[in-house]
Amino acid sequence: MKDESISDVLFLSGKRRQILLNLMEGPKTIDDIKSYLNSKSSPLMVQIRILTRNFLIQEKNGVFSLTPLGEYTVREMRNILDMFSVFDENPEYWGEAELTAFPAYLLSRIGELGAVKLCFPDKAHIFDRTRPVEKSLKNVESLIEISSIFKQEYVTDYLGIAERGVSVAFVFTQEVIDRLEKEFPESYFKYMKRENVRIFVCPEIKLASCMVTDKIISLSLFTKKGYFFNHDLISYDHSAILWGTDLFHHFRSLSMIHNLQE
Amino acid sequence: MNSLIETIFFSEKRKAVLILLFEKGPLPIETIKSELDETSVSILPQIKVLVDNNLIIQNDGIYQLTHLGETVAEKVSPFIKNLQVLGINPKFWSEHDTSEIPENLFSRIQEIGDFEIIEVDLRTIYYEPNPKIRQHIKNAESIKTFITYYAPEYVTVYYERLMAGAPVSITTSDYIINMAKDYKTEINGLLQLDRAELNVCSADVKIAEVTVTDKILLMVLYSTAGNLDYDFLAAESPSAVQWGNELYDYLRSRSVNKKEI
Repeated sequence: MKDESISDVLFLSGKRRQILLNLMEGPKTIDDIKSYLNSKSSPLMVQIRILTRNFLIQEKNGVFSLTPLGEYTVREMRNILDMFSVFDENPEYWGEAELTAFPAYLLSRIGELGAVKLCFPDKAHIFDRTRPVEKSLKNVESLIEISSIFKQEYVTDYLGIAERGVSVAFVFTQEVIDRLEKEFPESYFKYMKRENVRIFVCPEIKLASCMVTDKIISLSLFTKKGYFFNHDLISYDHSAILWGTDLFHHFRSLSMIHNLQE
Repeated sequence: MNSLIETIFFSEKRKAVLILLFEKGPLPIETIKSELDETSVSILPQIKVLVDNNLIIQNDGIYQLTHLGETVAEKVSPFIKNLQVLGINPKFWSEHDTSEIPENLFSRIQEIGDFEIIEVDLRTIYYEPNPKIRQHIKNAESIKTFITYYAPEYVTVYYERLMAGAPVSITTSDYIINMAKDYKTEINGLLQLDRAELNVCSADVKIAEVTVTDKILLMVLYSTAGNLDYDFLAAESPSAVQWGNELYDYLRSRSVNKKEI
């Protein structure tokens, strides 16, 4: 292993990656690393030697820490691994999904979705929300919905949530607002009268829908060919909810507030 | 389906194809082969793996990244390129404190390209400038220097450039300016010149020196132990000069302009 590149050192050994991620938390003794990795010391020492001779980690008085080179490298590596783990969890889904729905800077931060789960409703509920999303709505404290598709719950459950005084923000396409206004005028006016509800109209939304509450983010995308199938890609991670909030800010910045036409 | 680590990093060829398509855009197979010095037999199986994993697609003989491939390559490619530059002298980057370089600039460290480390002979410091560095500054048509240590040996070199008509901008700490108070009248006279600029930075910026001329970037970092070993990083590509200018502008933006001392 004479001319090993730093990227080979990182990506060709899961054990080395784990050691580095462990050291990202701060300096560790060999015993700390051993118990973190649940590993015997001899195979571990081989990897530690490789990391040391590549200047990623250093040892002083039996304590291992990241060098400045290691700090940068591990920070970027973790970023990449976070993205990879989101995509690797559902490779077919992401391979088919219409990713232009997201602005590039948020797509680049997709790793923040963290522990994502792809949920499908069973056949008897094929047009309904999936169970985890249903459950999460019971006691939400805030609700954001970005959507280019009309869902029945906008005039049922969501209205109930709005009437509980929960802060609700919708970013809809004009088509969705038109349908709400024409076919469900009663619900529409109830929304429009409430101070805790804001409706924005966005000229273009290329995702199907995205719900962000204080507890969960749930995403539905179209396929690249423009097809839709009912699904929810969900995450409960705090970083995922922040990501969803940034997505809302992105769409809101492209939107106009929707007011009642006098 | 493989994991993305396997797909991208377990094969030098696949990694190279991904980076190539990210940097050059859609390419026909012939170009991919010649750019990477591969044959159809050696590269097509690897391209197939990238296609099977939804990272690239082929249309009419043209290969390009999918949106997923683009998203992944946008993260991976700059990182690999940065590691290649850092890998020129990993020891240097492991022993010097880089925390003061803003993240958005360090994440573009590939732009400094090939660099060398000039080690200054500590026995001669304070008496004469390092000959290599003196040479670079002597020929400079413009100089910007951020410096937090005392380097009187460069005063005459800088003075000559200023008198020769080169714009000179210096950003330094109050501590250093106080050391020059003996020459107050002379310095204030020079600061009357439009092409001379002096800024004061806070004393606790942990970068020893950043000098950018029209041709070179020179950078001195403190060691992780906090001391100064006078290892000059020198990089001469136009993109290194551009990167250095951005670093200097950042440091200058955090300092205060002084018309007189």
